Amino acid sequence: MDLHADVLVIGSGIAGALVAYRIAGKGAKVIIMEAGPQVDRATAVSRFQSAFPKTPESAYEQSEFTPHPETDKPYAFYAQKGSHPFNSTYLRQVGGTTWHWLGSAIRLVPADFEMRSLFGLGVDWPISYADLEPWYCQAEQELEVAGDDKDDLGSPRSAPYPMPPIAQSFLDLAWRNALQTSDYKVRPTPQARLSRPSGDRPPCHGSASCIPICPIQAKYDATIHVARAQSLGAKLLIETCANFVECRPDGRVEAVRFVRSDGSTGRVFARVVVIAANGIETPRLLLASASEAFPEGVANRSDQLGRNLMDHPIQLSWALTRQSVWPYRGPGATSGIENFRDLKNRGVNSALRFEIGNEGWSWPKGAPESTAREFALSGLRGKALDTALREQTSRHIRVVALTEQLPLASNRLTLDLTHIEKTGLPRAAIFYQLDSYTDRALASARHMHEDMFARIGVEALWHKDGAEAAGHIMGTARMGDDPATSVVDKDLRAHGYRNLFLVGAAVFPTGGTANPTLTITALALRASDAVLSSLTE
Amino acid sequence: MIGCALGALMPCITDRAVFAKTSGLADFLRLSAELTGRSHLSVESARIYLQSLELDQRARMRHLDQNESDRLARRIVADWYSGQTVDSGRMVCVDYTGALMWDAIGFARPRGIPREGAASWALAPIEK
Repeated sequence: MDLHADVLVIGSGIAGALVAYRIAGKGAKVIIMEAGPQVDRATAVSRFQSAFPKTPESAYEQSEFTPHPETDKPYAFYAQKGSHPFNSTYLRQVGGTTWHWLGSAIRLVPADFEMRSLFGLGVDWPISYADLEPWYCQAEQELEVAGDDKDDLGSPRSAPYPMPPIAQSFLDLAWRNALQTSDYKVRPTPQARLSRPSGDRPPCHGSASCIPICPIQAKYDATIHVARAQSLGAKLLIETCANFVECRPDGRVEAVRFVRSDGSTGRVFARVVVIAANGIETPRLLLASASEAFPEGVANRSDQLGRNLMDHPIQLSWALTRQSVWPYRGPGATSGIENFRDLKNRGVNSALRFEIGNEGWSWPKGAPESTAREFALSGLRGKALDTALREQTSRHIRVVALTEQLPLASNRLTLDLTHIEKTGLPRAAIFYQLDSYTDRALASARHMHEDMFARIGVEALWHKDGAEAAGHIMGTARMGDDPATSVVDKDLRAHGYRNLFLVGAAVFPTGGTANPTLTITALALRASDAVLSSLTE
Repeated sequence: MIGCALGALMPCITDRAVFAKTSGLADFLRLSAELTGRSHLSVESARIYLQSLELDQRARMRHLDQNESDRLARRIVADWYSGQTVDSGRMVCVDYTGALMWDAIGFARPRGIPREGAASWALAPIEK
């Protein structure tokens, strides 16, 4: 089966959905190719509630055709080759990983774009914060971000947030008050969840399940823009996995081969191809498209494709406060500490972003279920059990520090040719390790968490050994001016491939400490203009 | 009292063919009500908890001493409160929204269920 389009968008997550929406709105014929299935929200909520453990992926059925990585099984999906298992996960389904993102919509700070110039580390971006700022504003409009205009969090703004801020939790205010005289400034987090109704979507009702699923779609997910793109004429193909990018010797993409879950195959011929398949699947597809003319894979003349894999390695800490703070209510996180993201000594010490969780000890301990079991197994019963359970769970707090991971060429994705998925794609093999910059950042975060906990007043505290994964998969198709050291240019066009664009966090040259989704969105919107221009070439 | 109830339950737990009978399930529900102090318990969950106990205890149930009896009672309460149990050595979720802990905790609700009133999380909960 052969299909034809002006623009083929591979992947229906936030980057692909926004590009498809923008391009379809200009009258171009767009095909969105999604490897995974459609998801029914009510079924997913029910699946999550019945799951053990309640991981970010627990709401979503594993597909035999397009499986996804799972947090509690780090060796099942990836072929782990490094000293540290890479455990950031993603979803392969319509809407992509926005189904289980937290919703934090934070901009990078200006210095994040100049790590090499300012601190002698990593690389500079080929664009500046000022270049991206108008697109951040548009991204916030599209995602209907709720935020507080009074505080730019270190990222200067030229437009107000489209939504008033989401209320900080009671727990946040306890943190804020306890830390008021310290250097830790607790601020409301800009979030892509509605603080008032919009269209047929209700405001956030505090369902406390942002990860893995909002039951009422108050939290933005990319199915919104997939549907808008479809309403503008875009054609959505589901359970249709791209498995080979055909290129002419001059580097022009001619067609993309696909296989469907029913085994049928075909090709899409498009004037422009946009790959928006995330930091793992984008390089996986391009590496798997190696041919005689392109033995290193498509868009890989620099040998940078798949390299520089980054996350925001997390230090997770939790404590038992002396006073009740009433967690387990509201969105997963409504506040953070942002004033350690733009320090002057980043050449030595990583920037840190602190996120205060509203979900008690769910992440580190599987509470409150684990607390209930522990108390019951200790012999408590009846009113004594009820009282102890209420009293202790009301004092559960946790904080995480997102650290900046530097791009290392050795942290990379390659292909495990011994294991071929039903889609025809080889398994993703990951070599991943943490360097001393990250080790110092994690140690520093532990120390600072203890300082915060001491100011709040806690009976006990704990740290997770080793880094937790953030789910922020970045860097594997880095953006740069030099084709010899980067994969795409500043318009996200693959170097040497006039009609091939790569969008998503794979193009980040460095990662900063901001949750990446808003930057992914801004870059995708910016690239949409270049895609449209390329249609006229 | 509870020791007697556990004793009465033992034939039901030690023999899968027996515990599946309505009388075994009814005994287990009566015992569970006594141990948890709750009268409205899910029959379907009870069936699963009872089966889980049988699988876990099968080898040792016939000569139940006081320590084992106490351990079993604690386990039954833990299952009902957490909505979880152990199945073939693995923790499983049996009834998340119906777990007794939610009533006990009071201020929080099962995840995935919208709360009444936007931004209620900004305030301390209203005491019962």
